[in-house]
Amino acid sequence: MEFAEYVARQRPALMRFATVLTCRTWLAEDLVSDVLGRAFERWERISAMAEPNAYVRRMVVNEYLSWRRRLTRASPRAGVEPTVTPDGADERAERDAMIRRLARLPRKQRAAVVLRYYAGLSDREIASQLGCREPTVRSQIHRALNALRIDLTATAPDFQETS
Amino acid sequence: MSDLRTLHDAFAELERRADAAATGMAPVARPRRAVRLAPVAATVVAVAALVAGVVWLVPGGSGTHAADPSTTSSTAPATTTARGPVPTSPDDLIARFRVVLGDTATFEATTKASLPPPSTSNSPQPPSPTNPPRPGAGSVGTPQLADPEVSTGAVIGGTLTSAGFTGGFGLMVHPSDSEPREWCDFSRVEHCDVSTLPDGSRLATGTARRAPGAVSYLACLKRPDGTMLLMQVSNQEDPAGAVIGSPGGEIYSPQPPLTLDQLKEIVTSDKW
Repeated sequence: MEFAEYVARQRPALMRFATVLTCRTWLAEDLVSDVLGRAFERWERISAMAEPNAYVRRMVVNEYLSWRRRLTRASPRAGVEPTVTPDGADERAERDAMIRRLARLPRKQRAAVVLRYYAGLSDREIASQLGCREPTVRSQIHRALNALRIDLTATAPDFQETS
Repeated sequence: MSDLRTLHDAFAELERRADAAATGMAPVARPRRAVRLAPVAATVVAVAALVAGVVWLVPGGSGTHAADPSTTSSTAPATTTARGPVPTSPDDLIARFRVVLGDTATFEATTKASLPPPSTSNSPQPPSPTNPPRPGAGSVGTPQLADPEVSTGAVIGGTLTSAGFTGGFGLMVHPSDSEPREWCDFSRVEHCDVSTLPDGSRLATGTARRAPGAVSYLACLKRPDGTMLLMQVSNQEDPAGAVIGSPGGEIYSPQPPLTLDQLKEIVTSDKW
């Protein structure tokens, strides 16, 4: 698979993943562009992998974690993009409050919760992506859910965890 | 307290913002960048340009497309030498896809992209005086930009409706050095079936199930002349399944709007 093919097919999905991870589209654009720049340099090797997409996603996560360190130093109070069209609906207000809480999570907690509940990875896969042990992953997710004020026992069956 | 549904709503909203940003309609208050967040090497800039070249264009040309017999321009038989030229722009591809589909389905193309010429190998082009290597990059040069004037292929995506079912689709046509099986592997297709057709084309097909209730079909044809036709159709928003393992968007229907056999007929159609 050629690099241009990969970018054409996968960039929108990478942008979605990076936006969920960073909660900011402008950051996601920079993140994806930088990662694709690095991926281009190694494309011959990456494209030969069994799961090139998983590798690129890991690059996105690693890049995000290192960026967050820079962001914390440069802009400790960096906020979430404001919602342009406030609608006042309760559900949307709750959703936006969730995005704000997500954006305030420590970087590893946020990465863990996104990899678990957005990417659908197992504890083992998340541990591999984040370079930590599985108990650490479970601990990070537990803390994240507390900070997000999510009660798993109140979750509808079709949104229960699958792994 | 909230529940996981609210978290998924938050993810969906962030996905919506990402899609809006990609089409240039994002309601984004972009902050002034006080610092560069990461070193930007020459290659990164070049790749950003490449990305911009194959960027998903604004859906200005979108709209529901139904078969229009008056646009039929290619009725060549299914032989490599007698086929019409490969569509090299998204609009050409939309017009040709409309002809190929006939009255099988209607579609709305919401994303469009042009593809640059393929590299001469599966690696980036070598450096040249006009394309110097950047320090520390070894022999890696910068990629060709995807100038629409020299694009050799196109990608479109959107929604497709047939027999009362709606789903997402993606279609890419261009000369390629890739092999059809690579797309099976990349798309995590179950039981990839690769066959060689009488004219020498290779066809790979398979089904992917990336999330509970999600079904995606893939058909990838590589003609003897190197032209690749890749089509995916799903019962959910993103037939490519987004990043591996991620939800792939809203599920529109209980099943994809086309069957795998219909997908095979489309990519092997003599109307391309």
